[in-house]
Amino acid sequence: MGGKVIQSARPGSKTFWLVLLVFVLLAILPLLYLFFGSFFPEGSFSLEAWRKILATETERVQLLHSAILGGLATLFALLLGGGTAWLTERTDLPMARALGPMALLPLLFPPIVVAMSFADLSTATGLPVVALLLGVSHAPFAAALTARGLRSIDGRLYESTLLARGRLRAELFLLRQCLADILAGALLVLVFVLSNHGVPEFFSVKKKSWFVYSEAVFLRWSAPGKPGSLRAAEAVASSAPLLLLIGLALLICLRARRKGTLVTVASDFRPLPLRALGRGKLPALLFALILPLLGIVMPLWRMLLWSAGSTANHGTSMQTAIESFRRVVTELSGDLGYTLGMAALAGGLVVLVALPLAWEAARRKPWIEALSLIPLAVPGVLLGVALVRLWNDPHLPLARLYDTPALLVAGYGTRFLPLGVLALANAARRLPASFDEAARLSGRGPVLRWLKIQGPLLLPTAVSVFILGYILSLRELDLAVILPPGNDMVPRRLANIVHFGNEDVGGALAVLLALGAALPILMRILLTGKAGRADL
Amino acid sequence: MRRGPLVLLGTVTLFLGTACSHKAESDVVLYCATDQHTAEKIVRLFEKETGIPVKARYDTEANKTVGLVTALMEEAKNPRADVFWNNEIIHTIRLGKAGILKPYDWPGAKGIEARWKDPKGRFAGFAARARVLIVNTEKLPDPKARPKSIWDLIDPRFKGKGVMARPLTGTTLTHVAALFQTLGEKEARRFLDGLKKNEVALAKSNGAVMRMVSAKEGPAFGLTDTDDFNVALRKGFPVIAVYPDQEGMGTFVIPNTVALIKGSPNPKNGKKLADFLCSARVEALLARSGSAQIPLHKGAEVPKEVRPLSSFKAATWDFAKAAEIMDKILPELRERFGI
Repeated sequence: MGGKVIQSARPGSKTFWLVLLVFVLLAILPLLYLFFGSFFPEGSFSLEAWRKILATETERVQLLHSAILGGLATLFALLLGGGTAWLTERTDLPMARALGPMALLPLLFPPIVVAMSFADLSTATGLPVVALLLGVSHAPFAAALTARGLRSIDGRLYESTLLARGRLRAELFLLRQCLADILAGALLVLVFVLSNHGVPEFFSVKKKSWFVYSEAVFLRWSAPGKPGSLRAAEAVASSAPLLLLIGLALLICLRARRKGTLVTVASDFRPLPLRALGRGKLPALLFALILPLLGIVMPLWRMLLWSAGSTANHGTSMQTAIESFRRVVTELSGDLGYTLGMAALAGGLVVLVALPLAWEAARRKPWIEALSLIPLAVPGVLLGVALVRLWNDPHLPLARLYDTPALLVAGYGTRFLPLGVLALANAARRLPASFDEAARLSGRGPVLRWLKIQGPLLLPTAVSVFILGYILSLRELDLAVILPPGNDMVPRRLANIVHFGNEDVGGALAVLLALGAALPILMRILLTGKAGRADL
Repeated sequence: MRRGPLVLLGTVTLFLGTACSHKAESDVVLYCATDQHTAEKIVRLFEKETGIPVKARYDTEANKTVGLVTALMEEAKNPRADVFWNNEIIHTIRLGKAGILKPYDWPGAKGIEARWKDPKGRFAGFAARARVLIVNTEKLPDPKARPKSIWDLIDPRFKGKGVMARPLTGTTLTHVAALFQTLGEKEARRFLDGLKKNEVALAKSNGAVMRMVSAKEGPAFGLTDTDDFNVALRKGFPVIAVYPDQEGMGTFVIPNTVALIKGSPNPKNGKKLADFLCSARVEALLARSGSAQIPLHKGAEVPKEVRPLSSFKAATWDFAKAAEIMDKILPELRERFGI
């Protein structure tokens, strides 16, 4: 297998440094400014804000809750996502070609919509329910990365092990080979679960409390005080335990992904042989249906019922549903279009900025991956406030852009950049060195080599990164609330509509938002005939 | 490297493309924490009548006012908003204390009693909501056996039957701070202690209280706001609103507030919008809206589905003192209620 790293194809160093500078200015410096500011509340040096971190029993319990919930949700995600990927990639499961991409569909609905749909059907509550629903919502990460890991293994290696050492050893060999990808998927799930406070709070309504630490962080911002005050410093400092927890998880993820680069696609690659399920076909099929059923069918069904008036005492009717969709189309189509447009621009920005960073990260600057993770590791509120500080400075020319959509695109792009850098860096590492070497020998310059060789090879991953950035931007609420141009974003409006008892319109809006989220996936399928389920 | 310009060109195009919707100089910027669906109609009316475009930015209840209050604090050095319309009063007082609000004489609110306005003119209260008990008449069919006071939440007769929002944000937090201010610490803590003993369910919001009481199973009554109660009524659930403590301290009433932002970009048009918002006409529109707000202007026309302020005993409480108390009790409330 050709795992040799290409050292010769030099990327544009000026572009790289410029993009890095923009990234540092946009995300790292504002966050550092907030961080250092927390040591100087009321204008003088003090550790007062930091002394209060985890000072109460409640906060310590919440952090423990976060860790337990994160672990359990990740287990569920691995079981459902990883299990489905294994079935669709390794076995003769019926409809495997359709079920594989379907495991990614839970990303289309925000986790809180999945939670509200479940609450419509069941009175169950508490830790297992919260963990299951968060696991389902984020299982696509586990599914995509497990599938990618399995597809990266040369079938001949597996068969050799099978012949030489038997079934059990061969399966263990498989597990070892794709462990890095499985772990990477699991840790991405953990990161997103740890920063989610809406779902645990939602299920704490029914007496049984299961508050997590991100809820405490969020509440600190509900009355943060003026910038520079002790209260504002406390709000910043309170993010530290979560940041450490997430940072630790992300670093493990990085290490795991780096190890995964030993497995490389070569031109004479042969996929893994499929295992016959025999009598297990039906149970396996039912298992593979769990994720799409819980993650997409259930929320879609409940939201459609909401749109038909199921939350009112009058019961449902087709007329109410039509009226709900009509109201969304006539009153909110502008917001919907704006939201999809912003998400598309954010996805594009993620690709544009991630490409040069990832290229360098894969070649000679692996520290870029760790640096790029910071915006995802901090709570969304913190990143939003940091961006406000930077962009609202009247002395900077950037201030002109403060209340324009550019700020929102920058915010989302920064937030989801880590996923782009990780995925593209991983893809860049897998490019066989021989391709570029051959092109160099033919006398092609770096631009042509990029356009003819590296670019096309990275394109599927770039498209997947774009889709991921697009979909995740449609789920992000914290930045939409903090940043002024987020005012017209549908997730923010959806939260308000539902809160104020307009579930019928909210249901219709959630369905249309999910359809909008599915647009690039549908376009990709139409254009290429592939859903691109494992290009991450 | 020559692919650099392509990437740069793309990035710059993206930014320029999205940056082209900068607001015009005449636009007035409104930060609005009240229900967007209701507020948008009022804003559109103002735009239509004055020709002044309003760039409105709304908050989400689900985010516990993190958005606009935080934004106003963060933007203090370079204010972007001209007017703040808050759906409650305590955060407005906080902003006033932080020096973010600009004093004004509030000609639009002349018909509103002085007690609803800041003595220093930093804000005016208008269109209020009352803190009522929403009671499911099917779960508690006997009118005589229905709760009449917030103390009934901790009365053993109603053990396991009541619900209220966790008093950590929103009007429920304001309500608890007001209880500390009017009843004193000892009595207020007796109330909080009693909630746990009497197995009062704790919901995440007033909307959730309304939904739990309206449902076929679950709590029979709960403490919520009149606008949430009206949602249940509109949806046809068998509920009534009990204005609590009519024989005692009275029902707590929490007004909307409007304030001007110090150093705002368009103070002239900001004042016009602020005057419009706290006018008797807008109060009447808010009373007729789905949120059924209570007008505070003297002699205001009140639709039949809204109880006028004169028809019930409202509790008297000091907003500024309650705001101070809230800062002190918040850590205790977080400990008590698990956050």
